[in-house]
Amino acid sequence: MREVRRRTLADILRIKQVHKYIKENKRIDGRDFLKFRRIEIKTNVVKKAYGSAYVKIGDTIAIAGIHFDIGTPFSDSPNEGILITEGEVLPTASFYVEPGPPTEEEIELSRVVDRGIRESEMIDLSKLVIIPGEKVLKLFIDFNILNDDGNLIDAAALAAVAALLTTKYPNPEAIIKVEGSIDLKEVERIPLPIKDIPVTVTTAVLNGKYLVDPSLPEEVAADAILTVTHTKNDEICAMQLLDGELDYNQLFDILEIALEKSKEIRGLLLKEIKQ
Amino acid sequence: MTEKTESEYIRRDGRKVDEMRPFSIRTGIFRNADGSAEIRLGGNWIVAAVYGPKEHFPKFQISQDEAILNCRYHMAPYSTSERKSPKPSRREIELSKVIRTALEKAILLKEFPEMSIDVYIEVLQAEGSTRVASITAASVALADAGIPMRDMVVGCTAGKIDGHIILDVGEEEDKEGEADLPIAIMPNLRKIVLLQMDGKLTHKEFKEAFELALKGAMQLHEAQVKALIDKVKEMGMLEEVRSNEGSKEKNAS
Amino acid sequence: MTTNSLESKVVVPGEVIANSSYRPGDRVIKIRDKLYSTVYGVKNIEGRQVNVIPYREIYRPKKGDTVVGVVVGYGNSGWFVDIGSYTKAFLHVSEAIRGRFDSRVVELSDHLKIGDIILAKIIDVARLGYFQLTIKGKGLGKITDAYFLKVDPVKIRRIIGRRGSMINLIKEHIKGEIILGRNGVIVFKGNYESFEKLKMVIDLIVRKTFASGLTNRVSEILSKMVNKNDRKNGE
Repeated sequence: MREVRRRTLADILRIKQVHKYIKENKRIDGRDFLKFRRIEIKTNVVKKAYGSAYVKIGDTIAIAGIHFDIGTPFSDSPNEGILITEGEVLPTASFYVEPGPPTEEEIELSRVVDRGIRESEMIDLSKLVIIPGEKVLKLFIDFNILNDDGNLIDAAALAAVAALLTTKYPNPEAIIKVEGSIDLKEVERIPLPIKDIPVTVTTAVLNGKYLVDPSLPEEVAADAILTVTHTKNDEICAMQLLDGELDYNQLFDILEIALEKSKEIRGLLLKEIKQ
Repeated sequence: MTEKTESEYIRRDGRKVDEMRPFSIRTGIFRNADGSAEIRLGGNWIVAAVYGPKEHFPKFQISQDEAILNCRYHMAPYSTSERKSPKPSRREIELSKVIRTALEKAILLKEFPEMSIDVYIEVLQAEGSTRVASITAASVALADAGIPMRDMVVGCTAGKIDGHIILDVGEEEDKEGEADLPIAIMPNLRKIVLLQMDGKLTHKEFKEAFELALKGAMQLHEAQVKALIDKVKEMGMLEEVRSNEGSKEKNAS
Repeated sequence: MTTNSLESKVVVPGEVIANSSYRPGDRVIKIRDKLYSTVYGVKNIEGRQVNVIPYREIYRPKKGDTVVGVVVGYGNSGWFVDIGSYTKAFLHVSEAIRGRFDSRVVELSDHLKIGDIILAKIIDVARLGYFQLTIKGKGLGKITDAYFLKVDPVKIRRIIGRRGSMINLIKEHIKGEIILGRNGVIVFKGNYESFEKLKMVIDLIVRKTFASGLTNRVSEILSKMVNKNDRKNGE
């Protein structure tokens, strides 16, 4: 969405505003530079999926849903289930989105969200095996962006993680016992084996200042945008320079900021899940 | 069929033959869209967004006479019991067309020559009668966007199961029933703009089903009007300022 | 059951709003002996005419309108400008530059670049093709260094007020230059604090557009703001 060539008049005016406000050391919505917009997290919003979550960061809205299917494992990992992440920015999200095959941005979005979950080893994929080397569970993480006001990655990643944390999946031990064809939906469900809780934090750089959770005009005006995903043990498990160029010292400044904010967000997430 | 039998028949979800599932409609749910709405009907959760009227591309396609209406009905992968591939299916394409032609009858397209109006419907959770719920939400989104229309458009289904004529067909009833009748109307002008049928009905049964569907549609129409009036009570904010804590709106009213 | 007076004025498309003893005005159609609203908005009666004022509407340029737009492209002999309407506007070189324009010597982009914001006037609204603009005129031309607000074009009328009553009230109390574009853009040249005040006032007007006593409310708020400032500056 950052790379759109034709923008609406309203958006262009907002982008100019960002520059003017930065000179006054302010953000256009009056936020502190290191503050996220208001975050809303609701889980179990789509009953047909095995798990789901609705996340709103400011006016950006993401929904994630988890589904399962049975498949054959990859030959190089016979004792692991399969994780598939696919996201789409819906045409409802913005003036610029047209229906059609996935754009570069959507694919990047899906892959970055996937990386955070996969590399942190959030899900113990060995517990998704039915018959080693033959039959495993395929875990589908599908997410959608319904309204784009910037920072789609944090919203989508948060929705995916919140959905996974509240997902109950078909117990492989119960599946083995069934003979003939299976209706996965009827199989007994148990909570997903969670080993970590990755949290993604995106920061923009503008005129040397750091803006956490950039809104859409801030993303467009930014000199650079960096996304960092941390595990609960403070390890970095995914990173992506989404746009622009970064000074070396800026990189390390942002890493520190991202780590601190990720703890905050993880706390918020866990509080929400417990309710 | 004696009256006694009708009043005794309990449907699979506990409803009586002429009972709608619980429903609610909200409008103004998306910041960017020119108009938007959300409908819940039983387990259905469907959103609609409208962009337009706007410049139409490609230019060789424009009509110098009236606006072009684009409509997309799409289901999210997590909206159904089995994961649905994000790629549009033939069913989604048919429903997009049927919904579009229905809305075209209501919208005053001639007021916007050379322009296009885009309607996007997303089914987030499906549970039977999605097309009529979709068109009901889409109509509210169009009104929210300020698009002039001759009338609102509202839809409802009726059907037949176990020999009984029923209102508002649920997912299971659609699969196991003898007939399914989705309709959409312009309620003030009393005109039908969407009509399809699946299954077998005698003329007498059809009349009964049709009248039942009309009743349901009028109930949903009330909810449409209520949604639009409710929104007035929380008027929108400036495009420039985005809601930060949400407290601004609460303090103002 | 109490009826909220505002609620009773809200109408939706297809709603019957009057009988045929009234004349159909803006956004109202007559079918047989009844008058229907065609949009979501507020019913408004002026004498024997019934109008509906919509809550939102796309901007339709009229000759003479002052608008704020952004340059989005270069044409053969002018610039394409986005004014937030359903088609682009065009600014011909002869409506922007005095004397002759020799493209061998000078580029269009030397005068106006893509991304420049301009204050212009509509000089023609041909049905097919682009709206024609001019920036020859007092105060028109490129806008450098200003704050902007974008509201729905329908709100501009309320921000101006009856015979300019609202906008004059605002200008009295807020230091700086305020320019209104009919396409819903408000330009402000002044300091940051004054702009924040303006934002608050505009926000209120946009929200309570149809409320009665709005002008008084705005007047109250503006006076409070000024008093605070006076005390701060020890005047």
